[in-house]
Amino acid sequence: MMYFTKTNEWVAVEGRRARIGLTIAAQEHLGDVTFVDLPSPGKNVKREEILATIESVKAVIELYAPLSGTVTAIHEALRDKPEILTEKQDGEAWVLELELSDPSEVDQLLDQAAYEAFLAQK
Amino acid sequence: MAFDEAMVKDVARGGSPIFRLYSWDPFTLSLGRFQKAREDLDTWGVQEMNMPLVRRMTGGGALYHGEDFTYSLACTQEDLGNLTVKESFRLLCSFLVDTWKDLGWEAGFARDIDAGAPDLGVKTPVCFAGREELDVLVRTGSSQSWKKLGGNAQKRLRHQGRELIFQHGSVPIRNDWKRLNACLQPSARPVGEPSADLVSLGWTNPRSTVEDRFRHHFLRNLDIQAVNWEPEGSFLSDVRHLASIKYLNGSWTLDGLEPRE
Repeated sequence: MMYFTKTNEWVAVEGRRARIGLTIAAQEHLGDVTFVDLPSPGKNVKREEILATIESVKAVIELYAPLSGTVTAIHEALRDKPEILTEKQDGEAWVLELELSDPSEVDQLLDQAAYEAFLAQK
Repeated sequence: MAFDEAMVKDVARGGSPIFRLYSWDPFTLSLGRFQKAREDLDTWGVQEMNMPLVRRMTGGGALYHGEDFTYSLACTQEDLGNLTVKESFRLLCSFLVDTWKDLGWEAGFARDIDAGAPDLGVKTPVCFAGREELDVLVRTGSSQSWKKLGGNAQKRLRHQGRELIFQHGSVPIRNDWKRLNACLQPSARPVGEPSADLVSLGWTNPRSTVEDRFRHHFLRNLDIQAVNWEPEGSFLSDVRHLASIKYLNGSWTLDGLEPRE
C-alpha cells in the first residue's frame, strides 16, 4: 500500500516493511540531486528524526523519518549516481527501507487521494 | 559558521528572520557540507598558505573568502510563503541581480540567459567554477561574455517543529585564483578564471555602496522592513558552544561529521 507525506515522500508499506522515496513533487522542488548521505543499515530512528540528507545543486535538505523503525536496506546505487533520485519515476526514486517498530503510525500518513488533494491545494 | 547556525536556532525558537552581511579576517577557505576535503584539498598547500578552513552547513564547492561580501539569512519557510527550493532561491537572489543592474551591469539568472549551456548543473569542487540555472551572471566588459558573479546555496531543515530556511551567499570583490589553487589538488582546480569579481567589472566604489544597495533591494524584493540587531549574551553563548563542539573541530571541518548530541 502506498502512502505519502506532506513533505513529498512516498512510503510503500508491506506488512512491517516500508520503502521510502521522493515523489515527483519533491524532485521538482529540489532540482538535480548531487549527493545523498545515507544512514547505515541497523540504525534505529523514531518518526520525525533525520533519516538521510540530500544535496541538490542549490540546497541541502533533510529527509525525516515518516515512520519509526530500523533501517534494513539503503539504495546503494545512490552513492555513485545520486541523480537517480531526480531522474527516475516515483517508485524507482527510493532511498531506504525500514523495518517498522510501530506500524500503527501509518495511520498518520496520507493515502493517494489525500496526497493529491494536498498537492492541489498548494 | 557557528554564528550562522546560531541564527538558525534563534529563528527556530521563534525569533525574527535574521539577515547577516559579513566579511572574513583572516581570509578563509570554506568547504561545502559534503565536500570531500581529503580528496579536493592539497593539505601541504593549505599549510603553506596558512589558510584557515571551515565547513559550511550549505552544500556546493569550495569558496575562497578573500575580499568579498558574504551574506547569510535564516528564516522560516512560512516567512517566504512556503515556496519551493527553486522559487525561494530565485526570490532570495533577486537582490543581487538588482544590485548589479544598479551598478550599471547587465545581470540575470543563468536559466534566463544561458539555459542551453552544456555545463549547466555540472558539480565542481570549486563553487565559482560551476554554473547552474539559478546562478547570477553578469556580462563582463572585455569579452562581453556572461560570467557567474558570486555563489549561493540553501539549507532546509526542521528544528523544534519549525520548517526553516538558511541561505548563504558570497560575492568576490577580487578573486585570488592563485591562492585558492595552491590549496587544491590539481584535479580540483578550475580551468582558467571561470567567474567574475567586482574589481574586474570595474567597480571602484567603497564597500558601503554595495552594502547599501544590497540592503535596499533585499528589503524591497521581499517587501519587508528591517531593524539593526545586536546579538545578546545567550545568542553569543550559543555561538561559542557551537564553535567549540562543532565548527572548531577537525571531525566537522575535514570529515563533515556532526557532533554527537
